[in-house]
Amino acid sequence: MIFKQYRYEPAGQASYVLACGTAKQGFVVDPIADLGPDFYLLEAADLAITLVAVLETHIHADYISCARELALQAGVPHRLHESAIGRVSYQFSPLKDGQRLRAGKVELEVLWTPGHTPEHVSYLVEDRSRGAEPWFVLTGDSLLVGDVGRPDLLLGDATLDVMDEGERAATLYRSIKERLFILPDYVEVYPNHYGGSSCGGVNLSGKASSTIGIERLLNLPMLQPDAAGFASFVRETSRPVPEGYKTIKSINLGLAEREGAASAVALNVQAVDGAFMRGAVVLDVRPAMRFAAGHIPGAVNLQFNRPDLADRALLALPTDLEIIIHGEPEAVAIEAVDLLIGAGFRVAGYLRGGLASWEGAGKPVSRLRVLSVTDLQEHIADFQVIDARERHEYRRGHIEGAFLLPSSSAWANASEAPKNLALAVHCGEVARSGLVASILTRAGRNVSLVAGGMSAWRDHGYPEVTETAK
Amino acid sequence: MSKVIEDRMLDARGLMCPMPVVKASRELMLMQPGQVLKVIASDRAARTDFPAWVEDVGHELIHSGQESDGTLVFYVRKRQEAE
Repeated sequence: MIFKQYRYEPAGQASYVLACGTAKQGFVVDPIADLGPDFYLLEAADLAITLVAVLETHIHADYISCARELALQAGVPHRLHESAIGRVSYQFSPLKDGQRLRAGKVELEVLWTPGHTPEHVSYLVEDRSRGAEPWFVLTGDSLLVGDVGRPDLLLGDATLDVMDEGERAATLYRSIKERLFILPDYVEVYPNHYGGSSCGGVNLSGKASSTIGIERLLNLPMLQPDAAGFASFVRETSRPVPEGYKTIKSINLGLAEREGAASAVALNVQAVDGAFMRGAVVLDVRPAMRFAAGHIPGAVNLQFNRPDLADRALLALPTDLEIIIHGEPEAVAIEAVDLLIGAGFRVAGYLRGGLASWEGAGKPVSRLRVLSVTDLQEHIADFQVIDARERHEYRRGHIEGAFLLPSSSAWANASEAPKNLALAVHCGEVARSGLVASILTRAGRNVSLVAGGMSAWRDHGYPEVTETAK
Repeated sequence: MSKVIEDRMLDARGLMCPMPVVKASRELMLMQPGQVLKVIASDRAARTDFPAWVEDVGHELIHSGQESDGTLVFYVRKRQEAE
């Protein structure tokens, strides 16, 4: 059994990968757009598993889901409880209460646990390679650690809300009592939220897992004598409503598009061509391996990461450059536009429709050759190795003959790269080498990207040169 | 180890290379010699890169460790002599 919990701290949100280690098949549960489809696809690749479905416990009100995009990109069903039919604008594969889902020896039972939202389900998990006993339950925003999911995030639309707040609180109480608290004490609880999340109340624990037994003993809302006491306790101990929850929920229902600030202009291919004429540069914020597989000629690759995209851009690029963002999905592109404008860059907008629209318009697409560390080691004489890390990393250990071109100064110093051979660019892993490789490609060099970077080189036990500190 | 009390803290979790080092460098510039900066990071590469950088620039790594959730913690004492 493969089990991973991904805790996204800024939102107090937990998403999951569950998979059968033998069949190499698994599920993603409640993926968050802040991490993005690529994050989960890369995790699945790292774990050497194939996804069979993307599951959601419910339609979220406090963060934007990427379940639809992930399911689309992985070519697997996006699954929600059937009661969401008619309330969401998109197609999904409906789940019934009691339905069983399988990935190899990992089996999930769908428990309909409405209350926080009408379509809320929990997933009770068994590892059949060990036995047909429930082991843990993914409770979404029904039962949380020390608390419960708030039932008051309504949209004020009778069609979408289905139940009012009081009815939702009573329903949540019954769902937890009758569906979850009947499970054995030892069953572990893995919620969708913990810590500072505003989907819980003041009693929400910072710990992101628990057991049915301890929650039955100590969960304060559920210790209230009845559904009415539960409802008033939950109301009195709730946190402020999440900012913008109606907008977030509308996006997750497919009723609204994710909006950037008014500054995020969607550019069609013609507009991008026009910006090229003025000397603008495409900043491709997709992961390096996606960039290598196909990108707009001349684009610079700087992988999106919300907390530091602006800082890394400031470190790597001059702010007087006019930039066009290429990011996928578009929500990421829009956010990148805002972050870079905030950092003082001149951003013309983002390419609407991404690479597909570019190719669809008959425009050329460039690719970067990707070398494994084994390819590089075997053909080392054919390449000038370029090390895109910083000097302290280089000093601690580098490939013999490697030329140091740190990602932070590559834009200014690209012309210093030795000109005798084709270039093979690596960094610690791959993100910075994507940036440096793209800059060297713009400078007219023949460039390959080394997948896995120095950590893969070391994993293979290939030789390195170290310098003692000054 | 005996308890170390930091003068400043840098939360570098979620940052990609080389930002943890860049931000730690900025923090240390604002500090007095002998003061301690606590850095928490989540980037796997920081485990080896961060100590390498501290050694490179001449500060003192007085403690490093890892919490159960994989978060890396470093305590760096700013070097005594000026640049």
